[in-house]
Amino acid sequence: MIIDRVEVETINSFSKLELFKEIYGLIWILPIFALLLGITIEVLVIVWLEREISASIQQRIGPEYAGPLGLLQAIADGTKLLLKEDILPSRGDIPLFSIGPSIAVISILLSFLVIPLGYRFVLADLSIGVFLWIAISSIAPIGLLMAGYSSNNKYSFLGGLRAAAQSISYEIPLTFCVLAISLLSNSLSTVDIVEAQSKYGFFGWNLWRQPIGFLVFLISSLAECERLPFDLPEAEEELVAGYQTEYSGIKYGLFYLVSYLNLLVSSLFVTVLYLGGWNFSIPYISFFGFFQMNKIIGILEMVIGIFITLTKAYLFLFISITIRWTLPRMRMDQLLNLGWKFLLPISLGNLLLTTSFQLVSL
Amino acid sequence: MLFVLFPVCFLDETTNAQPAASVQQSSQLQRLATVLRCGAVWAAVEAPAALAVTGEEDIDLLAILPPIAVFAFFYFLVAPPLIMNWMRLRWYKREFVETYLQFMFTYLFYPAMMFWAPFVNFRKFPRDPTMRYPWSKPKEGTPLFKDRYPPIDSY
Repeated sequence: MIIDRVEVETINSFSKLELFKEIYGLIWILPIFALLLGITIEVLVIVWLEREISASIQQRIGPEYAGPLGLLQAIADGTKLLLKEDILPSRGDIPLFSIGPSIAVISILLSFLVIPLGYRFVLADLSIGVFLWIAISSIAPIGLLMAGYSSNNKYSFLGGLRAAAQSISYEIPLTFCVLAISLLSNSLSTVDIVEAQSKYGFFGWNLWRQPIGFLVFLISSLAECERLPFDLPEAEEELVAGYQTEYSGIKYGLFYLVSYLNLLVSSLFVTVLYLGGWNFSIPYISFFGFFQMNKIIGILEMVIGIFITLTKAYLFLFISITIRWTLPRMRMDQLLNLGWKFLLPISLGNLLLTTSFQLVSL
Repeated sequence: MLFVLFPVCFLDETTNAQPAASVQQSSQLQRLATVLRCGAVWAAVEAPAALAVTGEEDIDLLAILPPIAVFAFFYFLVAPPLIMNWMRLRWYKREFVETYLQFMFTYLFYPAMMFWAPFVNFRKFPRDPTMRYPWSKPKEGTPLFKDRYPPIDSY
């Protein structure tokens, strides 16, 4: 779904007829709608996974009334949030109160521009893809800070400040890990990074070439997503719900959505940066070429690539959900200590090691 | 092929003699009718238009649709019943690896399972054997649900 090619072909096909000009001008919306629909369904299934995996870990029955085994529970939750009353705090800053969730959602949604599900199956193959993701993920905490400040609630304000401090602290080691990957791949494009891992199959993954970076990236991603043991901005026992306390209805639903969208983005980026992306990674003999089935193999490769990417992303999702129901929460000073005094030096050392090996290999 | 297409469009344009009072609405309706007619002709006549500008081969729908149809059939009609039956049978009896795999397949096939979910029910109905119809009132004291685990005869 590279827009340029499809758009050019479509325009050339329809431009012979003047009357279709108004129609083909809207072709570019279809891939974006497809991506948004896929993302929404992904969030629904992650909500279901969270509740059912936690029930499984705690040996209790999860949701089982909305659809068989609660498969429709996420849709029911979304509908409930849509129908709830939207409450505004009387002494809060109402414009900021409304803008905060929007900024958070929009910035996360923009991250999906550069996530590839196949060689040509990416919405925008920018040459600075991972850089765009890092830049955009720095915008979401602005929305959280707005939400905390505008709630006229000291606990919400503390939650917002914690969110900003946490994001800033863990953004830096995350960036250094991504920079090391870019050094290995000679590119900031997500498609090029995946292609650089396809040379040696399973052992060509950056997971084996950057094991330290992989661990630091995992921890920083969890902190970036505000997942336990890094959920101090919410901290149910201390701040009620942090910056989300005063929200209800769809605005609260937007924060809920941001949480799971962020988790999905991190899962997909772990897959793209370290686990080989859409590559099959298992040796196989391609017999389609013998029977001149080029179009069929093209379709199958695209479909299999999507499944492979989602399967690998599921590994990170499973790990993060089980960690949430396994570990206790950290204190704020412990959190900042880990970020600044351990992850940052380790990621810097990892980057230095990578540059040293690059020099040696030259 | 294109020369056959243009006269049809020109004919529609020339028959545009309308009164001035309702020229706007009839013009839009006329345009819509023209678009639909041209669309029908266009669907009948397959023109390799993109080749002239980009040099690339046009998208061949007849070669793409069969594999997509086969995959859609498998994804939406074959896999969800199998996965749901597996979940129904093993949901409370599984171990760790099976837990991972069950959740993974639900994660991968979730759009299809969402379509099936409103029509599938894993919870049993009342077990009163004397009920004449499914909507009859069950006898007092009938247990509502079947036991999830079979009774253990020996310890």
